[in-house]
Amino acid sequence: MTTKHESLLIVEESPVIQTLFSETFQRKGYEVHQAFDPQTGMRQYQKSPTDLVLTNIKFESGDGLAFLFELKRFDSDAAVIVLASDMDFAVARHSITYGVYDLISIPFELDHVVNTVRKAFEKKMLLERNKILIEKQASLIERLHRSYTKLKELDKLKTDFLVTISHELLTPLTSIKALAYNLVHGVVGELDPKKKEYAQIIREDADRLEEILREILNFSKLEAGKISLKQEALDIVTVIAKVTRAMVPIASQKGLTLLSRPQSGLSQGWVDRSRLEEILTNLIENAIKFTPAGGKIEIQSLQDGDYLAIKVKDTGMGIPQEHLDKVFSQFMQFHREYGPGAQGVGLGLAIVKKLVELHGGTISVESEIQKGTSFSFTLPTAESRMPAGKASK
Amino acid sequence: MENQPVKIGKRILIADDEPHIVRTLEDLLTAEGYLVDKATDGKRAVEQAEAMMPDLILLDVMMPKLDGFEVLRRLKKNKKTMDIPVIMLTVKATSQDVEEGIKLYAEKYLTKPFSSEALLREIEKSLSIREKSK
Repeated sequence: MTTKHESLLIVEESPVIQTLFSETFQRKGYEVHQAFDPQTGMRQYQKSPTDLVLTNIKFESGDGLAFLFELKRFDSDAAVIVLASDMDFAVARHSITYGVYDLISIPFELDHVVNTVRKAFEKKMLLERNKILIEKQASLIERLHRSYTKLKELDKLKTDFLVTISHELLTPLTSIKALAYNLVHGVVGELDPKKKEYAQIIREDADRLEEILREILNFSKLEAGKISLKQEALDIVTVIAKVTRAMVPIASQKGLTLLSRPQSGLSQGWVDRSRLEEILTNLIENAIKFTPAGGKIEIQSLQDGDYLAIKVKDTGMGIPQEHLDKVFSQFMQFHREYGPGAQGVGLGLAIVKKLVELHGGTISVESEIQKGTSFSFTLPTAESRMPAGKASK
Repeated sequence: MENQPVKIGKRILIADDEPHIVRTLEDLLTAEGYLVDKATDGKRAVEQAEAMMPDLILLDVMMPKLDGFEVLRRLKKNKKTMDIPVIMLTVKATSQDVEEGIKLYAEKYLTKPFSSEALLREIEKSLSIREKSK
C-alpha cells in the first residue's frame, strides 16, 4: 500500500497493548518504533521523528499531556493520535488544543485503531503535500512578481532610452537639415547640379530620419501614458473628408482611387480631432503603400450602436494569414510582397492601435492575399459618453 | 521679393548653445539680408537683447545658465525688451512645454529639427506683424 515506509511511534506502558499494536502495524507494512514511557518516547522522536505518534494519555511513569506539549513544541507538524480511557477522556479532549489528530477511547476495537491510524497517515500526507504546494505556489508567485517588476523596469528603461536617444539625435539632425537647406538654396553660393542633387538627397534622407525619430518619440510617449486625449463631440465624416482630401493627390500619383463612403445620419463621435487624423492618415498611407496602381482605397463609416465603425479597405496585395495577428505589434515590419519598400520602424500600426484604444475603441484587420486588406476600428459616439441631453445634435 | 523691405537691416538675435545650429542659422539669415547677433547661453541672451535691441529673437529652450523659458520671462518683464517678438526653438516637443512657452507670450514655437522654409516664413510673419503694430 505504501511506496515510502510509513513510520509509527507507539508510546504505551502496557506490554500487551504494545505487542498487539506493533504486531498489527508491522504486518500492515509500517515501520514501528516503541517506547514504554513518555520520556523515552520523546527521546526517540527527537532522534528519529516518525510520521505518526500513537500514545496513551495516562502513564504511571510520566505525564501524557506534558509529553504532547513537548512533542508539539519540538515539531509543530507532529501527527499524534491519543488513546484515553473514559476516565481520562476529559483530559484527553484538552489535548486537541495541542493539535492532536484524533482520539481513541479505551477499551478500543483494533479495527477502529487501524482505521484511525490509516486516516491519520492520509491526513498527514495530504497536509504535507498541501504544504509543499503552498510553498511552491508562494515561490512561483514570488518569482513571477520579480520577473514582472524586472520587466516593468526594463520596459521603462526602453521607453526612457528611446525618448533620450531620439532627443539626442534630433539636435544634430537640426543642423544637418538646415545645412543641407543652405546648400540647396545657394545660401553660400550656387552649387553645380550634381552637388545640388547630393545636397537634396541629404535633405530628403534627413527628413526621413526625422520622421522615424518622431514616430519613436510619439510611440514612447503613448507607451509611457504621457499622451492624453482631448475628446470632444465631432462629426467624424468631416474629419475623414479632410484627411481624404489631403491624401487624394498622393493616391492619384500612384494611380489609385481614394474615396470616403459614409453612412448618412451618423452620430457625432467622442473623438480627439488631431488623433483621429493621425489614425486615418496612418491607415490610408499604409493602404496607398501596399496597393498597386489601378487599385482602390475606400473609407467606409457606419453606426454600430454606441460606436462608430470605420473601415479603411484597400485592393492591395494583402497580408499573409500568419502575419495578421502581428501587424499591431511594435517594431513589426511586415513586408508585403511589393511596393516601394517598407519605410519607418514598424510603429505606425502599434501607434494607431494605442490611439484607438485610448478612445475606448477597438481595431481589427482582415486580409486576403491578392484581394486586399481592411482595417476596421470603432470610436465611441458622443451620446454614449456624455450625460443625456448634453450631446449636441 | 515682396517681403524684402521687412528684412533689410532687421536685426535678429540667435540664442542657442549648439554652435552648429548657430552657424547654420547665421549663414541662412545673413543670406536673407538680416543682421545677426549671437548668444550661446541664457544669461548672454538677456544681456544681448537689452544691449542690441534686436527686432526678433530666436530662442532655444535648453541652454546653460538660464533656460529659454526663464530668458523669455525676463525679456517680457523688462519694459525695454517686452515688445521684441520671440520664436522659441526646441527639441523638447511635449505639449506641456508648448503650453508653458505660449503662456509666456512666445510669438511662435518651432520644434527642432525645424524646416528652414517654415522658420523663414515665421520670422517674416512676426516681423511684419510688429511693423504694422508700430
